[in-house]
Amino acid sequence: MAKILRVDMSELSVTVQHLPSDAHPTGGRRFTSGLVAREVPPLCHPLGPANKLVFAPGWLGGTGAPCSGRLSVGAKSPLTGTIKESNAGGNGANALARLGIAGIVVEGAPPDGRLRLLRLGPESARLEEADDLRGLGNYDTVARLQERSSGAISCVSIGPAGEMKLAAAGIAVTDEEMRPTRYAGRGGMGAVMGSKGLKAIVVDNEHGERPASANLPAFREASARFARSLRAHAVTGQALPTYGTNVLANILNEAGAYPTRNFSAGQFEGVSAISGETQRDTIIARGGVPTHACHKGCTIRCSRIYHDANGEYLTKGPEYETIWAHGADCGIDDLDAIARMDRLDDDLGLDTIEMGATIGVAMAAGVIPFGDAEGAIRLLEEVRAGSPLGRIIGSGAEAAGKVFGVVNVPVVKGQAIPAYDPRAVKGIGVTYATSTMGADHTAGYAVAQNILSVGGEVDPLKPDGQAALSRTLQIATALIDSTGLCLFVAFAVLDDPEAFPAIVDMTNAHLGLALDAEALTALGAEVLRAEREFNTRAGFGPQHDRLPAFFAEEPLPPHNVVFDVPAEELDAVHGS
Amino acid sequence: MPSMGPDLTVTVKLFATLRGIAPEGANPNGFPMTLPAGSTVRDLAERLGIPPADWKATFRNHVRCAHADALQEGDVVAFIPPIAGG
Repeated sequence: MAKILRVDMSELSVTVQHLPSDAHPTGGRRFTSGLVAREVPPLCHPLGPANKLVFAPGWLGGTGAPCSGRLSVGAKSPLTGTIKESNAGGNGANALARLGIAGIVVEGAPPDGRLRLLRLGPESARLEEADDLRGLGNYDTVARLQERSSGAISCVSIGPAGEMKLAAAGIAVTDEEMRPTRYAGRGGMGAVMGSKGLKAIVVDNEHGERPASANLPAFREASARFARSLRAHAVTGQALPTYGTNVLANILNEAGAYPTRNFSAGQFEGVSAISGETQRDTIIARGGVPTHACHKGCTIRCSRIYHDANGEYLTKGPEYETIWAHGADCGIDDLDAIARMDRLDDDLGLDTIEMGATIGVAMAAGVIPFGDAEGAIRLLEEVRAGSPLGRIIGSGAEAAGKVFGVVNVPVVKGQAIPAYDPRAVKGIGVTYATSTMGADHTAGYAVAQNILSVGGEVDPLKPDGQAALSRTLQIATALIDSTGLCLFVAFAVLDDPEAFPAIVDMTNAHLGLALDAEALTALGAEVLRAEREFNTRAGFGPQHDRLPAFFAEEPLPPHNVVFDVPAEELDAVHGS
Repeated sequence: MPSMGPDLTVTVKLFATLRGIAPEGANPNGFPMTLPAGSTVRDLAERLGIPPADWKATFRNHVRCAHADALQEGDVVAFIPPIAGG
């Protein structure tokens, strides 16, 4: 029977509970958001002892189902003040699931302010002193944790930004090469972990066992069917493995929706220098790895390994969002400088989207000029130093905008808007406005239908149909995020009628259930409802489901469009 | 099919997996092509030899367009294979 670990940082104790058998299907976002909604006082301070930090693999975690290794992290967010679910790849989720762990709930706050780590093995779960790791970046932290461990491990850790409880701090998860490159980046989950005095979770990645399936032959058959679907789809079988996520740079730029210089234009003249095509050519020329799985069992393999000009490892291949944030949004067209910033973000433990957007706001204020790559790197080094300027930058775009008196601050509910301008991709604008998470492209990825013609077509420049599209996608996403599957499987699911039934069949065969597709989809809606209710009790209402005013007032070149989805349509997304 | 009249020249962009079909020496991020007047987006795709399975979307002057749309002198036409990310 799967375990829930209650880690009380006030008492420095670990208690094991058993997941009730009637709790299924639960896992991932359904587990983390459900627990936060039930147990965290919505009006608590996110960095106080009443908040709870929750980790969970999906219900398919550890089973070997293709792409099922996402780790869900939940809490009340110090960045947004809302409920937050942020999920990451890497090997952490599968390692937890193979130890029979359905969830970890970190509660309270340390009485002495010291740092500790949580060490998990097949039969053990204990807190260890870790104050000697204070101030270390994630790379050095993982190296030290490997030195003091025997056998294969997976690490979930925070850097100095999390220790400083900065609102843009994320949580790193190690990849196949034991590098801290996969991130639960968004919403300041690293700051919550820092507030608990928890520097890292070290998970035995050697002695666990695959969780037992109720009907293993049926599970294997459905899993093989799902793998075939992923391999056959042009996006999950070819485009993502070949180019990775940054293949989008040229496309969004062509569509006039690539936010440039703090969302002042929709096209960046330097895009070809930072495109996915250029990134792939650069990686191959330097002996990097152009196609790489971020966790064992991923069949899509969209991650990459990026080398510097000397052919030495620098960082993982920065993702589309990262390259946009540190690139076009800051007017920077130097791929190597962007890769250095990606490495710094990973080491310091910062969300790359929030950091790029924040530096873009600082540039708009004249702190440094647009295009100043070395200046941007210096701002990140200020975060490491913990200087007042560094702490402002590490607190995110909204905080920086207030400090520097910037009007055009691209955030919703305090979280930076990602790499699609909502004026020229109106469907994703609806998701930014109405998601339970603040601005989050992954919460309902309408870019697929608005721009990429995947899963249908909805005109990106018109308001019609965007609210209904976003609603459907937000529900489906909440479900996918609960299974533990990577959201990228959705590209196949949207187009291939065989793919979703395979997910239903894997779920039923593994858990011994008999749900139909409709019942499973209803779980996604239920997750959203619980999150929404938490946010309501935390003080959020329809007036917060809006984009910043400048998106409705300042036309975006080259289309010269504004965001004009009516407020009543935004309010109807969640039926309220 | 193309009608009578002077030829028209457009700028073609080929992204991702379509890069490889750019003519020898042409920059896939933008190269000129001349077609008979009245040519459509589909005519251009056929001239380039884009396999139908590798052609998902098209942007003409940064706006999504239909295969049957007639081209105009000076158009910028970008062909997009099946891709996604984010």
